[in-house]
Amino acid sequence: MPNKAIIVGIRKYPELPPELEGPKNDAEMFRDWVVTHGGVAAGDAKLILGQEPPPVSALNANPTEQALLFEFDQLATLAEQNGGCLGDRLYLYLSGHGFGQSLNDAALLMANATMRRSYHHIPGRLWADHFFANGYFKEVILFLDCCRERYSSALLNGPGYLLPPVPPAGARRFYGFATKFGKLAVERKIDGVVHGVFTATLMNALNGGAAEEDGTITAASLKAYLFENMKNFLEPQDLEDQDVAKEPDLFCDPPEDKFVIAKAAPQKFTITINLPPGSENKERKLFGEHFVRIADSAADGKLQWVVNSVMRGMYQLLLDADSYILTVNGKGATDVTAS
Amino acid sequence: MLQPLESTTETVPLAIQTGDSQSEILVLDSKGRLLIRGFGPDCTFRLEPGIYRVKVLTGTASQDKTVALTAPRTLHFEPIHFASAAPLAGTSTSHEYHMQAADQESRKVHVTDGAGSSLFFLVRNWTAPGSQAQPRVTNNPAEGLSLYAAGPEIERKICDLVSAGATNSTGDSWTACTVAVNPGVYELQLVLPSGEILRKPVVASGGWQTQSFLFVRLYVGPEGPEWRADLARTSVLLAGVEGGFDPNEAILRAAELARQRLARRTLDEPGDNTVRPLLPEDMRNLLRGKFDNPMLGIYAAHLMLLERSLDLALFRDVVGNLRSMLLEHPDVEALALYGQFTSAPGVFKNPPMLSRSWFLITEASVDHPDLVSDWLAQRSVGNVLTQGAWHVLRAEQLSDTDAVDVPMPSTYQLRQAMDTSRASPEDSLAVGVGEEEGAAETITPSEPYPMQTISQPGMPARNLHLTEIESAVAEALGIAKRIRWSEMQGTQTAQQGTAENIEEDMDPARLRGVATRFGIPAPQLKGVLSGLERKLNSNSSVPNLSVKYK
Repeated sequence: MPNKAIIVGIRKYPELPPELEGPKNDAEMFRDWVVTHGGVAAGDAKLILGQEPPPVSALNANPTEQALLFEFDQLATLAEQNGGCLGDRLYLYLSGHGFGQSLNDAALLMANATMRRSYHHIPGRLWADHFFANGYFKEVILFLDCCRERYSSALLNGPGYLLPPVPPAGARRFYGFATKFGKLAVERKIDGVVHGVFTATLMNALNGGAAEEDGTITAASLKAYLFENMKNFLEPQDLEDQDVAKEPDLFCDPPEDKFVIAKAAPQKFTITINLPPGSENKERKLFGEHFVRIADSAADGKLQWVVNSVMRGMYQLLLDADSYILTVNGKGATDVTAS
Repeated sequence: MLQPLESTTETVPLAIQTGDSQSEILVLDSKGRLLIRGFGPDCTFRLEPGIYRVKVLTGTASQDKTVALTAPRTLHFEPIHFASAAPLAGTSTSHEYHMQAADQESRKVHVTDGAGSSLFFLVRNWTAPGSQAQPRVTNNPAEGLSLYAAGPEIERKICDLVSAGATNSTGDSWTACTVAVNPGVYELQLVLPSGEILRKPVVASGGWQTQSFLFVRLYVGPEGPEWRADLARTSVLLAGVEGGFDPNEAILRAAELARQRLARRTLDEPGDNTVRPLLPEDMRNLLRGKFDNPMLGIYAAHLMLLERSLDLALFRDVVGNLRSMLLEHPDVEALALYGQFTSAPGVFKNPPMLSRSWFLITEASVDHPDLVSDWLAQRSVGNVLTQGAWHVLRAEQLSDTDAVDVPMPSTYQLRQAMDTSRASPEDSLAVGVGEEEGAAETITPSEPYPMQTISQPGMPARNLHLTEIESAVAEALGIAKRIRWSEMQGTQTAQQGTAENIEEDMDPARLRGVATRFGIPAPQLKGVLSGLERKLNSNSSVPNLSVKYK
C-alpha cells in the first residue's frame, strides 16, 4: 500500500518574531527525500508552506491549523473508506515556531499564531498517535523541528481521544523532536543554506550518515546518529548556550534495530588522524566495532595518518602498544583522544 | 597496555563508579547505540570486548567517557554539579550567600502562627557567576507570595512573604521566611501579574520543618513582563523542626535528585523505556533500612509506583515508615491507598503537595466515591494544574452562571490557551529554561484543561453555554467536534429534528482516565458529565448526550 506524507514548513509569521529562514528549505528538502527515498509517490506527498510574502496581519496568514486539520480529516476519511488502513507508512514533518505543552509532545505554531494567540497550533504527537493507534498506517514517522519551550497547558486541535484505540499488532512508530522539553531548537547556515539544525542532522542521517554497513537505516541507528551528531551541526556559541538543545528527543517502539526506516549507501569518510607527539615512528593499527581491524600502517615519520573509507563511530587506535580512542562523527571530522 | 581481542567473545566486566547513587549510567556501543542502563554509585556491566561510550546523567547534568574494553576496567565519575532550586552544596545554581541565607534564616522564626511544626521558604534569583546579563529581578523575588491557612470554613492569610521575611538584594536577591505553625496543611498563594492566583499546598508535619525553595520566572502581565516565583521548579525538603537547612547534608542531595527524577517522569516518556527501573538499587537498600528523611521516602515511593513491576513488600515498608513519621500527611496517605494496609486512609480533607499524589487519590475515587471531602473535591473541579512535580490549584472557579459560549466554528476562539502565565514565546526565552531541564513538565497524564472560551456577546441564544471544564471534558471524550459541527448545522438540524444522539459508555477504566486527567474525583466528575448531558439535551441545535456507566 502507498506511503503518504504531510510536510509543513512555516518560515514567516506576521506577528510572531523572530523570522525564520530554515523551515521552507527544510520542508522542501524533506519532501524531496520522501519522494526519492522514502517510498512516497509525488502525488501522495502533501507539502504545505507558509504564505510568502506573508500578510501584514496574522488574521489573514496561512496556513492555519484548519489547513492541517483538513488534511488529517481527509486521511482519516480515506482510511475509513479503505477498510481502515490507508497505507504502509505515514510521514509527518512539521517545521516552524513551536512550543512544548508536555513532556510527551510538541506543537507547531501555525502562521496565524501570535504571542497572545498561541492556540493556533497543531500538537504533533497527538495526531501521530491518532494515525498509529487507529491503524490507518502500519508505520507512523513524525519529525517536529521546532522549539519546545514550556507552555503549561492546552492540548487543542487534537483528535480528541482520551483513551486512543489499541494499535494493530506490528504497528510501529518513530517520533523525533528537535529538542528535549523546555529547550530551544535553532537554525544555522550549513553549507551556505539555512537549515534547522535538527533537520540538517536528520537529512544527513537519512542520506547515509546513519546507515549500517549493509545500507539499512534502522530506528536504532537513526537514534544513535541523531543523539551523537546534532551537536556537530551547532555553532560554538550554541554549545555554550544552556537553553539550546544539543540533543533531540526521540521515541521508538522496540525492537528498534528491527525497524528499517530507509536504505542508503553508508557514508564513508577519508579521515586524517592527528597523531600524538612522539608517535611518528610507531606502527599504527585502527580497530572498529568488535575490534575488527580496518587499517594499519608502518611508521612513516609523520604525525598525520590518512585513512580512507571510514564510517562514523568510535575506533581504537594502537600506536605500537599505546591505545587511543578516536571518534569519527557524522560530519567526518576526526578527533584523537587518549583513552 | 590495551590490546584488542579480535576474536574473543567472552564478556569482560566494566565497573562504573559515580559520585551519586541517583546517577543514571548509559553504555553506548561504538556506533552510539544504547546497550544498557544502570544506576550509580557502583555498577558493573559484563560486555563483549569493544569500544564503548559511558554517559552518566545526574539530574540535568551529564558526563561521558570512552573506553576500549579488552580487560576488566573501572571508570570513575566525580560528583557533578546539577541545577536545583535548593541551594545545596555541589549544585550548579547555588551561591555561597544563598546557602548561608538558607542555613541561617531557616533556624530563625519570622512569623509565629502556631507551634509544633514549621514552614521555611526561600525565594531567590539566580544568575551564573560572571554572567553579563542585567539583574532579572528588580523587585522582591517573593513578590505576590503569601501563606494561608485554608479549610472548609476559613481562609486566613498568615503572612505575605515580602513583608514578613528577611530579604537581601545584594547580588542575586533572595527572601527567606520561617513560619512556626501548627501541624496541618497550608497554602502558598502566588498572585501572578495577570491577577490570577495559584495555590500550592504545603504540608506542615508535627516535629518537622517543611522547606520550600523557589526560583523565579518571567510572567507577562498588563504592565509587561514581571518576575515572580516559579512554582514548577520548587524544591521541597524536610528537616527536624529545630534543625534548619544544612546545605552539606548528603541525604538532601539524594532527595532532590529523586524529586527531579519524579518531576521528569511520565508514563510514556519519549526516548525512554518505562519497563526499566526508576530507583537505584542503592536507594532501595537505603529504604530497606531505617531512613530518616521522609521527603526522600515520599519521592522514592512514588517512583516505585511508576515502575511497571512494583516491589510491594518494600513499598509497604516505606509507606508504613512514612505513616509513622508523618501523621496524616496527605501525600503519604495517597501512597497508602496502594499499600493494602489494614488501616486504610480516611477521607482526604486536604490536598497533597505532589501532583502524583492527587493522581492516586482521584484514581482511587472511582472505587471509593467518598474518598475526598466535598470541600476539597469541589475546590478541585476545573482548577487543577500540574506544575513540575507539584499539585497546584487555580483560585478562580467558574460557576454555572459564569458559563461561556461555545461559538460557531468560524468564529471559534480560545483565549489564553497556552500558559497560565500568558507568557509569549519571547518571554519564555528569558525564563532560563536551562536552569533545570524539564523542570516544569507535567508528570501525570493529567493535563490542565485546555479550554477557556470567550464569551460572545450577541451570539444567537441557541448557542451552547458550557463551563470551561465541561468544554474540556467534551474535548477529551472526543465529542466536542461533533457538538461544534452540529451547532454549526444547528438551524437545519433543529428544524428537521434529526440531531444525532451521542452515547458514551463510561466503564471504570475510562472514568479513571478522565478523572486523573482533569484531577477531578469521580463523583464530581460524574456531576460535570451530568451537567454536560443536561445542557446538550436541552439544546435542540446539538446532539443529545447519554453517558452510561458500567
